[in-house]
Amino acid sequence: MITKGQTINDRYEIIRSIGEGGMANVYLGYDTILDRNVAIKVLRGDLSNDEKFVRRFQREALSASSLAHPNIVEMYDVGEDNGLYYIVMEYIEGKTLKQLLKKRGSLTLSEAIDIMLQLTDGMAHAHDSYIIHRDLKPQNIMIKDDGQIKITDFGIAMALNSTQLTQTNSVMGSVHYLPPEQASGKGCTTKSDIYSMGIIFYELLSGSLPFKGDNAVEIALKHMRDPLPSLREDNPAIPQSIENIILKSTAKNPKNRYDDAKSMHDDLLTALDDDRINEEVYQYKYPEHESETTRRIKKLEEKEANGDLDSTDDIATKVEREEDQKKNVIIIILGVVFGLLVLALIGIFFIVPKIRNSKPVVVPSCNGIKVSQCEQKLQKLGLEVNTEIMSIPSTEIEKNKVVKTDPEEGRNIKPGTLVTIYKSSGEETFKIEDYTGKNYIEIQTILETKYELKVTVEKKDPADTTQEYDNQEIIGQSLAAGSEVKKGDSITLYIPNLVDSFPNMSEEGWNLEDAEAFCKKYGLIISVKYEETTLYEEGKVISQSRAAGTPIIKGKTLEVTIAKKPVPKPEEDSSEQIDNENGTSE
Amino acid sequence: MKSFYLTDAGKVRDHNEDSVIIVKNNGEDYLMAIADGMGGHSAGEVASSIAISYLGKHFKDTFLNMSKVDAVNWIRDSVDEINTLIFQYERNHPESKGMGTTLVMAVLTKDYLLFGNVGDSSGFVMKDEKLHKVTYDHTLVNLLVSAGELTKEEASVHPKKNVLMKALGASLEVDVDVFDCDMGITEVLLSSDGLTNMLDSDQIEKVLLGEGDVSDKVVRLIQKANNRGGTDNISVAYLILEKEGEAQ
Repeated sequence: MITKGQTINDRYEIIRSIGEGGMANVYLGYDTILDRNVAIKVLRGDLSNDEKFVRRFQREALSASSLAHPNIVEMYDVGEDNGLYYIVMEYIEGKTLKQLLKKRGSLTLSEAIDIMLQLTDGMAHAHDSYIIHRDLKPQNIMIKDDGQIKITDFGIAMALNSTQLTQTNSVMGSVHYLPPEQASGKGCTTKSDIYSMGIIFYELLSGSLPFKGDNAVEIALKHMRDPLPSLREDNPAIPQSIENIILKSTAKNPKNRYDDAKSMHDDLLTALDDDRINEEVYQYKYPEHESETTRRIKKLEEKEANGDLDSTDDIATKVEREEDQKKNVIIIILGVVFGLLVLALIGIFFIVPKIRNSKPVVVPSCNGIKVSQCEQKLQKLGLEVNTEIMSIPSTEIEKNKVVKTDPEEGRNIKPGTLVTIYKSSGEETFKIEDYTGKNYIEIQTILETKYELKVTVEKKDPADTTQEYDNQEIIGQSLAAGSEVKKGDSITLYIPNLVDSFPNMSEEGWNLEDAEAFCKKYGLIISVKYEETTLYEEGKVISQSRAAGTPIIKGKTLEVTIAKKPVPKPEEDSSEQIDNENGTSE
Repeated sequence: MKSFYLTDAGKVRDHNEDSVIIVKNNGEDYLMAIADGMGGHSAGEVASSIAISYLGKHFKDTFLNMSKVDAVNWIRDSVDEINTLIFQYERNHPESKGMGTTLVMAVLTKDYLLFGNVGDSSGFVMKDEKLHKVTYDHTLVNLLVSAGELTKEEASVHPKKNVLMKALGASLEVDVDVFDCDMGITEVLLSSDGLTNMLDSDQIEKVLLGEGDVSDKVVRLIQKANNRGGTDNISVAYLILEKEGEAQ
């Protein structure tokens, strides 16, 4: 047992326990040599005695430690101290995606895409090193306060899945992200991670899991058999291109999935592009259930053939709980009681009024007339009028005129019954809020679906140029916060007009560093040419191969011409050149 | 009646998390039980011994002249009580969190033979020189096999074949399978999965039908499992019923 204050290998001081897993406990520790907080995962005692397991655990932990990626938790050290096997990892302050989902329900489209881009990027890096995670789930993904995600639990998941090592019993963990091929015992490939990522994407957007059931087997079977429920059915605001990504990654047949995490990442990058707005529903190329029927028949036959040994029918019978029988008795009793109640109610409604012998009256129509007129009408018939007049919005009835009564027009009621009058409060209006800083897709959806407003989105240069804006962030709105609107009104939301076309570099006085930074930011390939001139200061951009104002396309080459001091003496030319090259090749 | 039980750590593990018992009450009734514990920090041993020691004592103290219906309820109540005891222990010993155990038991009286099972330990009976498995393993793969998604061959090499769907100490509600056996049984055998993972039913049957007395056969079963790898703890409880009129 590890206790607070204990030091592992004279280096890592245990601060406190931060988590308990089925196979290892995690502690917050302090690295006394490098002066930083670390997370320390300690293998549980019973597994430390299994030499094979320990060897594998260490080897896998080491191979995972070769991964260096901003979205993968860094492994610092693997070791053993006094029979305790441990892994030292980067300590992440933040919560798991599961905790975030629990708090937030579902995430917005742009948030979910951002998380998935980071996740697929990290996994692409791992897959490049032939490392499969095998247990991707929101519980294994940390999210920092700045939105950066970190994938955890690489090595252990792998060590646990090897056949030789699972001789020990364990109780079933989560099967909510279990790829079908894993449930059926076929090996795990990089495509299994893709499946789990698809399920995670689904959960981020919907806030719930696609397959639910009373027990793990039911869920595992659904993963194997049932098609994924449609996200768009519940939330039509989700583009088809996004649902296609989920469909493609969660195909039952691994052949139908993305080939690797990289292609899933690339698909995510372009999913919201304009040309993909009207994308068709993704169709699987290969059959989802390969030769399903033959397989089933084979298994059934086999079952019959082997049945004699394992079926207990002829030797023993399973004893069911008597509660089931008791339940039946309860149902019968309930039925009788309910029947009696119905009879009693019939008596109250049909027989009692007759005995009372008061003639029922019909509630008259009051639609569109004044409240006072309506009151008179009702009182004439001997009905009581509720002194409190209710108001409800209505598009058809003028303000302050009667919309309806309760009980409604046409109902047979006893004289003396209390009737409530509802007057119109005019058309339904609501107040516009201040939407600045919010995501425009989210607000647009709310305004359009909930309040049926006409929403236009326009790009605008932000007033405050020093601030950094997200390209989906609302920076202004045509109607001020607090103004009243009704159905069908229009509103314009302004989003920042971020640079997505080439600037005029020479006019704006850019130098080579500026141009290089620009190309890096927009994924352009830079090619530099030098020209001797006295018209420009040395190092400034003279001209650019792509005209200012043309749109930036990622991956293209941009050639910039840079000013260079004319050299008077030809002998010194070569050395100058070398200097210059050294200066720019950084 | 002749009976014998034995447990062995196997060839890979240096400690034994199984517990096993055969007891007779003041009447002519027998209880056999095997528990296969799991969990770190020796918690597996604790969990299985909580189960077995409670069962043994509780059987001697309370089980007498019970009707079959009462016996079924006795099994269910005992299992619920053991589950509660394990959770209580975990509360008082936080380092043992996550511990649990499987449990298979057989209750034999003059009038009936009942089996109770949670997890993947097994209960077998011998009838007409043929071995039958009575209990149903609560493993993921076994359930997938019965759903027709896996063949037996696929299940036997499945990477998750030891993953349990049910165990004592795993959840607050535990539903034990109870089986009511035909009479005319000649032998009863319980074992932990350390035996059944190494030997299939035919091989076990062969040993039981072979030469030797009750203890020889149990020892031979464990030897065979060890020869095939012995990767897990192996426990066997074995009982041979005497024919009518033959006093023990």
